[in-house]
This record gives sequence, structure tokens and C-alpha cells, in this order.
Amino acid sequence: MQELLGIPAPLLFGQLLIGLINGAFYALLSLGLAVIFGVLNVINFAHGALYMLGAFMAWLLLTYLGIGYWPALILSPLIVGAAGIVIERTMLSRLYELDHLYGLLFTFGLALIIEGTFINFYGVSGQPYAPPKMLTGGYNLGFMFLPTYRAWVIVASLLVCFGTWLLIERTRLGSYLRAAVERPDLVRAFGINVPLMMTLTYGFAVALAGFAGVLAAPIYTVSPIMGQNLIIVVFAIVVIGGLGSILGSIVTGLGIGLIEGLTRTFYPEASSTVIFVIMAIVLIIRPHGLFGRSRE
Amino acid sequence: MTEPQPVLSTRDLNAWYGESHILHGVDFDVNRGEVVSLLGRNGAGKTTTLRAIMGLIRQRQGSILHEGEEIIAMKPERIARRGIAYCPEERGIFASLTVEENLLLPPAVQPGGLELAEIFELFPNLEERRKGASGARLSGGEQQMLAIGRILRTGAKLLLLDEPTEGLAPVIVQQIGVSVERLRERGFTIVLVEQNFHFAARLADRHYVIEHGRVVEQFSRDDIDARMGELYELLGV
Repeated sequence: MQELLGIPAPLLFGQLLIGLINGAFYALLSLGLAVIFGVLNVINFAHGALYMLGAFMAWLLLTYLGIGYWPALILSPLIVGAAGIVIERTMLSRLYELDHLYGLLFTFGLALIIEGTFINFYGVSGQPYAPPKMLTGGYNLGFMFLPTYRAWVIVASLLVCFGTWLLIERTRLGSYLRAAVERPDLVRAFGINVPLMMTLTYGFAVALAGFAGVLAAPIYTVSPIMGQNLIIVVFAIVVIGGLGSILGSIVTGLGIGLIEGLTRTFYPEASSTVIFVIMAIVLIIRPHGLFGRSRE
Repeated sequence: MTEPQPVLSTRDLNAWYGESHILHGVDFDVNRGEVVSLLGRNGAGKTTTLRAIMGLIRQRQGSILHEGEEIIAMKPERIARRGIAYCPEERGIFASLTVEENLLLPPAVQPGGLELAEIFELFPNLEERRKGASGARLSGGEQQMLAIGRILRTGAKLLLLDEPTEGLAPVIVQQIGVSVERLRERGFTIVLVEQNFHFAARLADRHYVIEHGRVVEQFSRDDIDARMGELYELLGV
């Protein structure tokens, strides 16, 4: 068997693939968190719960209405996005005038309520969700086996991340968003409806979380606590990438996934702590994050 | 013949920042095509007056009529859509936007805005810097030209300019003076907040002096020479 650095190649590439998959989810979620933080100035602790909601919606649509994966991939993010719009309009928007902490506490409480509700009805053990037929099976690449569904997850999340980046960095609408991050008052004084933009931003960013949830459903089991496991790591990634940096959160998300995979191969004991070690080092050397700008 | 209706008139305009009461009843009128300056010492309430007109101060009371309609309760985006454009004191150039994005940021609110070519004719420096990667890399003078230039595209006919000359070299101040002059010729109505009295004296048709959040005196262009001493005393020049 081929070996690389004393590790059998299939094992190494297998771990790298897992790392890349995890990284794809990290990127999708931390991107949403970064956008929300930039535009709304809110640290959205409900992000993990809304990711879970996305996965659960796909499962509920299939179980109760017989709606399959592909329609769910569209419907579920739309439902989560709509829920986000209601949350922002009716509750979150009332907290902007107050200290940051209120937004954080509110979204944290919201996460507990959403997750608690699902635990009450479905327990924590998790529900299986099969990948669509089209994406079952895999490819033998010679050095490793690549399951088709996992390849799809990486491609889909990269496309969505890149599309979001283009939208924010290269379009007129994106320039409104970036300007509103800096000076919302002045952007309003130019006749742009910033409160509406904030609502839609929240809806869009949590829809991304919902999309990630649907992608994740066939890989991880659909469980009310699936978001909790992920969200802490995602927060660390947002801190490492730089709060509010779009590109930073995408690159860091993928990078951290890979580093995690490598650590699991070479020193498995450290695989769950390596992220936080990196976060600590980044905070010491570059407090604004790798890609962040200082904010006054 | 009846007096033409002022484009903008404030009556008993009060404004607060949190607990502190900044404007205590500001009354002034701006007629169509006029350049009106708001003069006064630091902290007199000039900037606050402009921000209150723009709806950027939440706690405000009294009356602000624009084209005869009450706008005191309107949100900033609605006020802007009526054709009022605001150029803030700190210029408000966005660092995360390119020079061109900054220039194209404010959406057109009414027909009849200046074309880009006309803006570049007013401010040739902007055309040279157009491809700049970030608005923050421009010099102070260029930032000011960008801040004025970008609101000319929108079609707004009433411009609120907050200290366009602050911190700029004399040659740039002169260039901005020429531009304001040309904007007046094009029919813009302009409210100018200024510390630089000599700049304002040359440009404005009328001057209001603001002190402690009230208009305390009014001068017309013709009065100025005769009442210079009085004005200097008010402004502490």
C-alpha cells in the first residue's frame, strides 16, 4: 500500500476529504455569521439552530409530504429564510438600539427554544435521511474512494460561497451592503432603505444556514442538537477569519476543516482542540483576525 | 403677486442627542435657487440642523417643510427620495468601496441628475482617480470632491453641504468654491454649513447665524459689508 509521511495514502486522503466536507459546512455557516455581524452588528447564536432547522425541514418534508431532496434543497432554505425574516422584523430589530449583548442573549435564547422544541418532539437520537439516488455510489480515484454525495457537497457549498462573495463584492446591491456596514445612517440619507436591507440580509444569511442543513442531512443524522456541535467551531472560525470578513470566513472555514483533518491523521488526540489553539494564537498575534479590519 | 414658496423652511426645530437638548427652535427659509449659509461657532448646532433635516436625528420636534410638505416625521430614506441630498462633514467616503463604487453609490432619486461626464468636468481630479481601489486612499480634497460629486448624480435639487472646506488647502477650497458657484448657476438650491466665513461670504445669498441652537441673526449678501463688525463679533472671528 502506498504511504505518505508514514501514513497509508487512503487514510490520509480520507481524513482530508472529511476535513474538506467539514470545512465546506464551516464556510457556509461562518459566511452567514460574518454577513449578519457586518450588516446587523448581531452575533447570531441562533445560526446553529437554524442550520438544524434546515436539515429538519428537509426530513419533515420527506417524511410527511413525500417531498424529496432536490425540492427540499430549495424549499427548506426558503422556509428557514422566511423564519429569519419574521424573527428579525418582529424581535431582533427592536434590539439594535441597545448594547450588542442583548442581540447575543436574544439569539442564544432563541436557539435554546428552537432546539428544545425539536428535542421535545423528536428526541436527540437523530433521524436518518438518505442521499438522493442520483448521488449515491462513488468514484475510485486510485488513491482513495470518493463518495459522489460528498463531492457534491463540496462543489455545491463552494459555488454558493463564491456566489455570495460575488454578490457582496462585485454588485451594486453588494456595494450598498458594504457601505451600510460602515455608515448605515449615511446610506439611509442617500435614499436606500437600510432597515429593509438588514431584514433581507438576515433572511438570506440564515437561508444559507438552512441550505447547509439540507446538504448535511444525508451525511450526519438529522438531530435537534446537530447545530450545537458545529456552532462553537464556527464561532472560532469567524474569530480567526476576522469578524465581518466575507472572504476571511470562507477561506478560514475550508482551511480549518483541512487542518482538523490533518490533525486527526497525525495526532488524533488534538483534533478537537487544534481549532481553539489556532484561535488563541491568532487572537494574540492579530486581534482583528486574519482577514479582519479594525472597527471603531 | 404672492411670495414664492420656500423650498425648505424650518420652524421651531428642536433636536436632542439622548439627554442633551441641542436645537432650541431653529427657524430659517431657503428659496429656490438660493445658496444659504448657516454660520456659527463650533457646537452651535449647525451640523445638528442639517442632520435633523435629513431625519438622521431621531428625537426632533417642530416643523420642517420641504416643497410645502411636512417632513419632520419622515425616515431618512424617504426624505432623500424627495430630492434632498446630504454631504456630511466627515465626507462619508466608504473605505470598503472603490472610488467608482463610492461615486455610483447614491441611487438616482429624481430625473435630471448630472451625468458622470459633467461631474468629471466639475471635478477633473475624480476622473483621474476613478479606478482607485478604495475611497479611503484619496486625499482630503479628492474625498470632498467625491462626496459632493456623488450626490449630484442623484437628481436631488436641494443640497445640504456640511463644511465642504474643512481641513483643505486654500487652492482646493477655491476649486470647491468655483464648483458651488457653478452648481448655483445650474439651478441647485444649496444649504451650506461653514466655519470658514470668508468662503461662505463669497458664495451665499443669505446667511443665518446660529448660536446655542437658535438662529440669532440674519444677513443678506448686501448687508455684509455694512454689518461686518456685528458679524465678526457673533462668530468670534
